[in-house]
Amino acid sequence: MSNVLIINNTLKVLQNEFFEVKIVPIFDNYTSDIDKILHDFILELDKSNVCSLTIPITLTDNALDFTGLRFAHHVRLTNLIKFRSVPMVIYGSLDFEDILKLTTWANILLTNGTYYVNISEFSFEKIQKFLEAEIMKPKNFSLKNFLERIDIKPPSNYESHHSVDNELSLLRWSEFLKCDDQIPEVKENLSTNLYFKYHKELNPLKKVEDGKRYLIEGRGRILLIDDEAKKGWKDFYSNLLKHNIDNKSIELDSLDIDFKSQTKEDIKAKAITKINEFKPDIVLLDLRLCDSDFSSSVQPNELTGYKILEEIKKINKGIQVIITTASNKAWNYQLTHKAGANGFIIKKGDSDVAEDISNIKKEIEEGLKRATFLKPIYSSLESSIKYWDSYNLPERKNITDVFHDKLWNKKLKLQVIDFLKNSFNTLENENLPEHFTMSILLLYRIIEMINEYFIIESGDYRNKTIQYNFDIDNSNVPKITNNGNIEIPPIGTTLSTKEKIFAIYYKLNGNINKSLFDKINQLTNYRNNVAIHPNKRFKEESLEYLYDSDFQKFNKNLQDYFSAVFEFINSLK
Amino acid sequence: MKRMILIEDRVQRQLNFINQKKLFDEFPNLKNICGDKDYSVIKNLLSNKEFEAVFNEYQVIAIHRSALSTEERNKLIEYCKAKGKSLVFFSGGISSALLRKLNNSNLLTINSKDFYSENLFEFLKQGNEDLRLLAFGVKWELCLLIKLKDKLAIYVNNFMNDNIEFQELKAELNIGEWEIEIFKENIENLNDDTILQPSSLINVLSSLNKKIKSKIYE
Repeated sequence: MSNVLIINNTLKVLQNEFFEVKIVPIFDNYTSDIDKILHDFILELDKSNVCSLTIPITLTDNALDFTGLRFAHHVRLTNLIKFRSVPMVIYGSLDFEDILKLTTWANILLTNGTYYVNISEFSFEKIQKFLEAEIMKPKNFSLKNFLERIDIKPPSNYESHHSVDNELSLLRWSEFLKCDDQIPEVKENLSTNLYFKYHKELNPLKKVEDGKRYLIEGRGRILLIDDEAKKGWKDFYSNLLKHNIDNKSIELDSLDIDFKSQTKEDIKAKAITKINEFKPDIVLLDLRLCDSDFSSSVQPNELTGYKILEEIKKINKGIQVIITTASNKAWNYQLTHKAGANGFIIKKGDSDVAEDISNIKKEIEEGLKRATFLKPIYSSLESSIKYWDSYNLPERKNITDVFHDKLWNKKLKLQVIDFLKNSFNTLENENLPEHFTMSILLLYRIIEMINEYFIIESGDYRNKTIQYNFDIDNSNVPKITNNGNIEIPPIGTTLSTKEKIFAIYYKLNGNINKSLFDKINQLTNYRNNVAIHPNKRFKEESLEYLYDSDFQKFNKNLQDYFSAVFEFINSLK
Repeated sequence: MKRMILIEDRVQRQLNFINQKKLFDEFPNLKNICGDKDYSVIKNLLSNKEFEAVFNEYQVIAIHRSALSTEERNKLIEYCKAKGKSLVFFSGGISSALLRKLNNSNLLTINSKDFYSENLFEFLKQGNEDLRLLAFGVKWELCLLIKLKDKLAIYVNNFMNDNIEFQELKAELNIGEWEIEIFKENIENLNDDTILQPSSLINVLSSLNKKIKSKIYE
């Protein structure tokens, strides 16, 4: 049984049999942090059977550092040790109310089992007598009462620069995956730092039975852009995705640069180069990547991560950007969502870890799924827009209705681009109900508009006088059947939208494109049999239904529908 | 004032904390090496352990902890110890200000945000090289008063059995020049041979208490 009396090097050493006198070796180590020194000393002290502690207010000769009070907090908050609940006497020559006035560390003196003795009034002999009686009593310490009374602030610049939640999430999520040994620096900091000990007691980690890694559904490339990737986040994601990386269904890479020495523009430029080279399906993107991002005056849309998000969406809107953030500011979510962010991984130090990991899995799976269909469609969309933009659309010769004029060709050029973009935007906007089918309706409208432009319709289908001519040369529009027969239909024969498209293609190219016509056929069938019937939009063949039930089929059909229109546009001569 | 050199490897970090860089220009005794070319030159010299070339004319050296490797840090500490220079390491990873002795000078380790605070400007303004001002702000003199009161109170209540000569008390409690003045304020005609009774020391304690309270509540 040891009644430990801590002294500092300015105090005259007391010699008696009751107290075991110790000095905390603060001066032996110039480079370690105070919390590390105190933590190590406490673990060393735990080897003896400590039954009481008598501690000066300060362990150094600087009365205002209150290191003794800090030490007392460590004792109470270090759950590894046997003596955390022993009676503690804090001694000093200040009056009690003066200490309370000087520092919030003094709140510990208001907790059960911790006592203050003013050594201007009492001798160590009296402290000894008090402790002799005290150690015979049941322990008075209550963690609940302790936590209610004290308030430990995070180290000054953790509030911004090194987010507490960021480090805690890294540790807790890594613990869950049992890969925390790969982040020794973070682990040591979190186990020795007083604030993190306090945080851990306030937010105890729920015991996780099985933190085994997940197998993520889907395939693709994931790029991590995080200034702390090397600090442990890359290791965390590597472990989370290990099974997929091993079976080569997922490739993980990170932007491997020294973020600290780079300017915002440098980081942005290097991120763009990396994205163009690696061609990710998902980018896990941190918003604050360089020192200037941590300035209190920086606007959210000036953050380096935000700028990179804008660039990613210019490269390919289908790349899924998941923002990894410890921010609790709602405007960050709103703004980045508006700029095209597709998901969020929120780093919170006090959340349910199993749920967090499950959410990350869902975000990544959903991201891979969405990138699978959005990325190729966006690439083709871009080239079709480029083609259409440069296409020399002949001026419409016959103006046959009140809705059109001489500027029809100029308007059509703009309208097609508009509808192409809108069909993609609708496709990717999961907040819109039935957005897959709606995007197909917009897409289909493009071929209807092109039909209306190239083909003049005269007569009336009701009295069977309808007939069709090309605007370019007034020649008859042929009917091209599914099996490739070409014939000039008799007057009164109605041509469907897809038949008109086949005819335009034939007129401009002089041949039949079976594969394209098949796709146009499929698109038309979907439009006619599902899309225009609201009651059928969730039935078996609908895109909405297939997305969840048979993603491969969904993707195949969707790519075919879009490429039908893209290929048709690209074929216009 | 003895000159101070401040070495920061990242410009933006300094700007984030102090916002107005020009504020440093008001202190001609401060050499602020912040990023860019100047820093590269200095860093190169430090990596080659050419401390004297960089620090010779400065009495106080403040440097971001991560600007140096662990080995370079330890070498610099040895250099400052030998030359009696005060050293400040600041970093975001430091949990709390800690001031330690280096023979005749001091080593302060302090969080960056606490370092780049009003205390730094007060420290530069006062031109005093005592790092306590940097560490604890304008109330740093309280440290001295409390330290003396602690020593004296423990002595009076635990070790003083009889009267004691002032000379003996000075040796016993390692009382310095500044502290002697406090005794002189309370004990008439004090010299080394003065025999002090417990009641005299209790008077000193009481006087210290008043001074401390006035500092705390001023």
